[in-house]
This record gives sequence, structure tokens and C-alpha cells, in this order.
Amino acid sequence: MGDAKTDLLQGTLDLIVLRLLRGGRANGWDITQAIQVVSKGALEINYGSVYPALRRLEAGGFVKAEWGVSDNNRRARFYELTAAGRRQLAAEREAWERFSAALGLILDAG
Amino acid sequence: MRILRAAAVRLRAVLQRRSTDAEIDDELRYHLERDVERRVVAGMSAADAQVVARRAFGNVTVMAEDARAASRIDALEQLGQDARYALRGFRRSPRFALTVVLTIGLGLGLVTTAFTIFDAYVLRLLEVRDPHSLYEVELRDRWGRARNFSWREYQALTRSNPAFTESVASKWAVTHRDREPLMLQAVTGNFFPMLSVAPALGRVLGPNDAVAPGTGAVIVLSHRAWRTKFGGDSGIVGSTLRLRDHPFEIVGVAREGFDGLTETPPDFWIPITMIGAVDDGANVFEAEDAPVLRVVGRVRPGLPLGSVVRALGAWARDATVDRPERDRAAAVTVEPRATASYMSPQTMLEVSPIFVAFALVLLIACANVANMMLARGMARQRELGIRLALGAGRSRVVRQLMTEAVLLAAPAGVVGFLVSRVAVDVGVRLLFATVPDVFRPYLRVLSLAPDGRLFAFLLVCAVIAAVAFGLVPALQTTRTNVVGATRGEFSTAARPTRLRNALVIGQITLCALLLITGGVLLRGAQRLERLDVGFRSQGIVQVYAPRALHDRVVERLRTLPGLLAIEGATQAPLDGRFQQIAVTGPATAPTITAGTNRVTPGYHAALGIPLVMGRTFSVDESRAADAVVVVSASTARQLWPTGDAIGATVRMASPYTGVQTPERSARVIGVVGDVVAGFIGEPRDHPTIYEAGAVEQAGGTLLVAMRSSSVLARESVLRWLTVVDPGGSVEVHTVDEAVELQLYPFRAAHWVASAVGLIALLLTITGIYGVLAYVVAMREKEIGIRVALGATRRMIVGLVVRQSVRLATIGVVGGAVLALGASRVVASRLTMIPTFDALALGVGSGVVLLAALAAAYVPSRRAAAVDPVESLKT
Repeated sequence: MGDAKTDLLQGTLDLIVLRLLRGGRANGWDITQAIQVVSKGALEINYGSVYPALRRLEAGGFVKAEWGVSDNNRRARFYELTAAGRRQLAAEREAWERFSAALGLILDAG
Repeated sequence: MRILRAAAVRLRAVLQRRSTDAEIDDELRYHLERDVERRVVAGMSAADAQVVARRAFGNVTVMAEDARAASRIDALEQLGQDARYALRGFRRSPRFALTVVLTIGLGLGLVTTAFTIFDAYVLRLLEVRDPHSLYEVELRDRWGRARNFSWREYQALTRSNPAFTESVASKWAVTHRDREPLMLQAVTGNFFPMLSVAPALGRVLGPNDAVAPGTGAVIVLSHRAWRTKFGGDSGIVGSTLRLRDHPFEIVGVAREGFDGLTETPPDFWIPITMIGAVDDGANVFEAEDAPVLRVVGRVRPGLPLGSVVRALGAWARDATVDRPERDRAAAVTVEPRATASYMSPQTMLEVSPIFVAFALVLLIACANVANMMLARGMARQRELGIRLALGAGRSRVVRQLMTEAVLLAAPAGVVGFLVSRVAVDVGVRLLFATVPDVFRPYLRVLSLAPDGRLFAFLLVCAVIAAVAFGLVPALQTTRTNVVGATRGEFSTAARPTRLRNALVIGQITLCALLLITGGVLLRGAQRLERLDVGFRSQGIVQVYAPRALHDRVVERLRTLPGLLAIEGATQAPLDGRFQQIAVTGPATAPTITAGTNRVTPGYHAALGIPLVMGRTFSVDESRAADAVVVVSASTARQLWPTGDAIGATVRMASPYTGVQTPERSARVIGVVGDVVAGFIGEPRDHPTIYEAGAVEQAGGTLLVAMRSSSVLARESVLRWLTVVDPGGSVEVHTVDEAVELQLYPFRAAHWVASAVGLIALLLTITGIYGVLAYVVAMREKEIGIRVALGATRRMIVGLVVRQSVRLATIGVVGGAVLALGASRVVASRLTMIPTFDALALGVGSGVVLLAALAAAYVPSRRAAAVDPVESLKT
């Protein structure tokens, strides 16, 4: 784990969850682990905050959920991207890139 | 799809709150257990793993609560947010909000006013039992001409009852009480039972009231007449009302809301058996074949309309087979009677331009507001761009903007409702205030109270308006380049659209059309007032006496001081279009259509119609109603171009079914000057043929020529007649009043067209203003550059004004072309409307162009005030 940890920018957790779900069906715990692994532990998040994000995305129709059996043979709630979720991911990704480009320009400007 | 899924999730979260909560608990528990498990596997003690897992998770209770809330963030909560945000915005720019609400409110008010009338007459179901099974039936001969039923035919219909379970017959009549006309409907005894109409007081009419002709002198008042004409007197049942000296007993008042089966609500009903006492028309029972009865039947349940028409048609052919050919029925026309007035798809199509005009005004209002929203959107472009950049979905921003639109449309709906109520109320008052005195007592208007349908209509219109003026700007302003917007560049994304210019041109076109048409109608009405009808109307009084009083009235009038002459005619000179007949002269001339009137020998002299050739009738000829005619100059010109009319023979045949006017021949004895006959819109050279009649014949109109002015003449006739007519059942008015009455529709049409035109003008001014304000806001940077490069204020103002004038010119040309087309159509029916009225055209166009210039004033000033430094800095 690196020393520099970054607080999550507001609104980006949804984007992260959407991106991770693009790999396929997953439950909440899987996602928290994936965040750790993929970001190499650089992001400071409470695992618990993934759940409100999932519920928010579900309420928005971007993911759908169903109960299933986890790899350790327990009952867990699995999430999957919907078609709208895929579109949303693309849109948010683009918006993010535009934003970071804009921010870059601003920061680079004299 | 997404919306549906999202809605389902939220609905479940709200409705099945407990199971959703339990689910979230289960889910979080799974996470914690799994995390502890992982850490234990990695070598931690169970107790440490618990602590670490919880720490990594964050506050479990808070997270669970957040997850629950996230499931429940429902439309309502977001709506609340958006609404609060929008209201804050309105508070910041109250003038904008007010303008939008008033503009849309005005448009909504206008369409709602039109709908109120349409609703009352065409949509509102009659308050009777099962109105949908009621149908009115008319007989049609083989030439397709419709006629009513005779008593005998109605009897035959009730005996065999094809397709109907039951039917009622009725006849309209007008009678006078204290010179005030009362409208009544004489009905068969089963009228009230068939319609299941209960009394509010006393009883209604029943079969026992209409047993034999001449019996059953009873009256049931309509609730409306009881209230307005009889003072709502609850002790009225049992009292006597004298109609033409015949006593009728008032036996009841019908329940409130029942206005009969016709567009004009009757004041009361009497049994059909008493029709002879109140009506001078053909005696229903003696002249058994007089086709005067309207028949409405209740169709057998489950019978399709096609079978009804076929069954009734077969019955009608059968029932009239022994009649002369012109009275034989070939088919029937069947029309629904579920509402006061029925509009066939054909009629609907014909009146649709009126509704289209009203709808267009609403559309104009929406276009205006859409433009204002766009202009405002420009100012907010940076705010929206930043919101988009910070991750707000476009749909979220669109929803926000739509919430704004709905929040503006809702009060606009309220304003629209108030506007329509005021317009309806003022309209009805104006109608009663402006209609000529002669007609006012005959005027009856159905209840125009708002009902559920009206509110539904208003709601739908308001929603459509909100979408129309909210959605387009919302989509347009969110189509922003985020990077550019945060930098302050937004001109690229928001190009002036063709649609917007087209909308403005369209509204200018419509505005010009309405104003020019209003002007043309006004000039037409003015021309009519100055119209030379070809005869003298001053001091001529029309007197119409019931048959029983006729002789006494004539006798009394002969002694009237100041009397010049007392003449008579089947119809007064301008009291409605004369009966039209087909007239055949010499074999060399074609058959022409002419108006016909039966007049007394001195008729032409009294009205100052010059005798051109020959002579008018002698007293003997008029008493005997000899087969001699006097023709108008244009008739003579058309039938005998060489001038040998006197002594020639004409054959006259009614083009319509006629017990009244059988085919006949007559000798021409004279030619008189042309006059505008019957209807004021009739060209003066329309042929007229006068037949011989006598003053002594009842049933026609007496024309009393006096030396004094029309008003004084009328007064003295009325005073003179009270001796013989204390009950006031004689109708007295002047020819001038009849002319007034005929002018009224033209004046009213001009008022309505002008009023709608002015509203359109008002909206057009705000519309042009909106577009220019938008354009100026959008081109601010460009204008700044121009100023920086040395453009003068005058040049900048010219830039904006030119834009306005360009749009207005295209619109005005379009409107003028349409107005020319419209007046051409009207002119083909009404002679006093010119096909080309330069003054109306010029003034109408000028007003619209001036309005366009005025609307450009403020935006052009704003453009001129652009500070080049400020505008280029951003």
C-alpha cells in the first residue's frame, strides 16, 4: 500500500461501481475488494459506502439486483449492469474526461 | 425501460419498506461476515478481524440508513429539490416568471374559452336517461332533401316502431306574454317519461295530458325559465298562464339542468294536443300531411346504427308509398341526440379553422415563452455547463428545466381558467348588451359553467404547453460543450435555429391575417350600414299578429293617427331570405332562381320602390290572389332581355318540397326597381318576383308606413294596439331594427376577429422581443467586437432592427396573401365584402410592422449598450 491516499471526489463512487460492474455480475463485497486491488489501495473509502451507491444506481435503473449464492456458498445480493447502466457509464466516463481535461487546462494555465 | 425499472425499484422500496430494510441488513451482514472470514484466513484472530472489518466498513448504521434512503430517493424528493431550486430562480427574476405565466395564461384562456362553448353545445351529455341511445330522425326524398314528420307519419312510426323502442314528436312555437316572447315546445305525452325527467315542483307532462287535439291546456316550466322569468315562485304550481287568450294551468317545473333536446332551451313544454292554441302554422292534426314534427327515438338496445338506418328507411318508404312523389321518402337521416347539438365529422371539419386559429394563438404563446426560456438559458449556460461538468446527468438537468416549465405552466393554467371565465362571462354579457333589442328576448344561452371535462382539457393543454415551451429550450441549452462552457464559450452550441425564426414568422403571419380580416369585416359592416337597399325603411313598422287577432289589429291600425299606408307581405322586406323558387320564362331564356314574396297592391309605393314598367296589382287581383306577378328589374332583364316582359307568362316551381307552393303559372303585369330583398347580404340584382296578396289575409306581416321616424312610429303603433291586444301577443318592430339584426353577425364577427387579432398582436410583440433579446444575448461578443472595431450605436441598433423587420416583412406578406384568400372566400358568399380591400390591408400590415419595430426597441438599446471590454473579457 502506498502512503498517499486520496479522498474520493463526490459523485465518482457511482462511476467506479459502474466501471467495475462492466466486468460482470458481482456482489457488494466483490466490488470493495476490486476497488482495493485495482486502485492498488490508493483510494480511501469506507467499504460500507459502496452499498448506498449500489442502491442509488439500482433506484436509477442503471443496475439490477437479485439474490444468489456466493462463491463461499452463502446467500448474497448480486448486481449487474443494465443497458442504461452501460450508457450511463459511457456518458459519465466522457463527462469525467472532459472535466479532468478542463481542470488540467485551468491548472496549467498561467 | 430504465425509467420503468427505476420506478419499480422505488415503488417497491416505498411500499415494501420492511422487506427492503431487512434485505439491506442481510446484505450488509453478508459483507461483514465475508470480510471477517477473509481476514481470519489471512491469519487474524476472530476478534481482531471483527474490529478491523467494522472499521473498514465505516458506521454500519449510517451506511444502512444511507442505502435505505438511496432506494427511496423517489421522484417526489427530487421534484421537491428541483421545485425549490426553480422557485429561487423565479424570485430572482420575477418579471420573467410573471411574463411567462401571463403569456401562457392568455393562450390557455383563449383556447379554454372556445372549448367552454364547444363543450356546452357539442360534448356535454343531455341530462336524460341513457342519452346515447337517443337519435333524431328525418325523412329524405329521392332528391336527398330532408323533411320532418307529419302527424300521420309519426302515428305510423309509433305503431310499427322499427328500430326504436319508443319515440317522441315535438314542435317549436313562440308565443308572447306582455310582448316578451316565450319559447315553447309542444311534445307528445311520452316525452318526459321516455327521457326520465323528474319534476322539481309539481309534476311533469304525461300521456294523459295529450289524449285528443284541443285538450290538455297544461304547462311544465323549465327550471331556468321558472327562475328567470317567473321569479322562482315556489307557489307557482296551480296558477294560470294566458297564452293568446287561452288559459293554461302551470302543473309543474322540470328538474334543474334539463334544457330539452335542442340547442335553444325552451321556456316551457305543453302537450302537442294544444299546439293549435299557440301556433299559427299549419294545423298539425287537421292538415295531417304537414311535415312539421321533429321526431326523436330511443334505439333498441344492441342494435347497430346501420341496421337502425336500414330498418327506418324501409319503414319510411313503405309508409309514404301512397303519397305524391315529392312527399315520398326514399331514406332517412339519423343523427345522435346525446348532446344539445350534434356535429357531424363534416361540420366539425368546417368549423375547425376557428379552433385552429385559437390553438395557433396558444402555440404562439408557447413559441414566445420557448424563446424567452432560450434567451434565459443563454444567461444560465455557464451554470448549466458547470453542473454538467460536476457530473449531473443531462437528463437530471433537463428534468430540472422541465420542473421549471411545469411550475410556470401550473399558475398559467389557473390564469387561463380565470381568463376563460372572465371571457365567457364578458362575452355573454356583451352578446346580450350588443344584440339588437328586437332579438334580445329570443336569446337563450346554454349553461356555460365549467365541468370536469373542461378542467381535464385545461390540464392537458397546460401540460402540452409546458412540454412545448419547456422541452425544446431544455434540450437545446443542455447540448453544451462542457469544456467550452466552463471557459465561457457557448455561442457554438446554441445557433439561432430556423425553427425559432419560423415560429416568429408564423405568428406574425397569423397576426397579420387576423388583423387584416378584422379590418375587412369592419369595413364590410360599415359598407352595409351605408348600403342603399333600394327602398325606404324610415317610418315603416312591421306588425305580426296571431291569426285570431289579425282582423281586429288591421281594423284598429286603419285609424292610427299619422298613418300613411297599411300594407302587407308574406315576409317583411328585410326579415330573412325570401323563399327561393325556380322561375321559367320564355323558352329562349334559362330557368332562374328568384326570391318570392306575396304583397299587397300598395307595397311598392309605401316602400318607395319605383315602378319601371306596367302597373302593380289592383285591389281585386290581390283579394282574389290572381295569377299575376310583378317582377324586379333584374328578373325582367334576365328573362326578357329585349324588354317585352309585360304580358309574358312565367312558370314558378318550388325547388323544395311544397305543400305551400305548388307549381303555378302567372302573367307579368309590371316591373319594379331592384331592392336588396330578404337578406342584407343578397346582391341587389338578385331576381325577385312579387305575387298578389291582400292585407286581410292573416299569417303574413303587416307593414305600417308612418310619417314619423321609425322609433316614434313604433311607439305609436304599440300604444295604439294596446286596446285590441292587452296581452301583448302582437309582435311589433321596425324595418330598421330588422336591418340592425342582420348587420349584427357581421359586427360580432369583426369584434371577435379584431379581439383575437389584438391578442395575437400583443403576443407577437413579446415574441419578437423574446427572439431579439436572445439574439442580442447570443451575439454579445460579436457586437462587442464590432463596437471595438468602430461600429457606431446607430449601426448596432440597425443590426437588431433589421432582423426584426426582416422577420416581420416575411410574416406580413404571408398574412396578407392568406387574408386576400380568406376575403375572396367570404366575398363569394357576401357581396358587401370586397375581394380586395387596400385600406384594411394597408392598415393591418402597417400595425404589424410598427409592432415589430416597437418590439425591437429594447433589445436594440441593449445591444447598443454592449461594452466591448466587458463582453470580450468573459
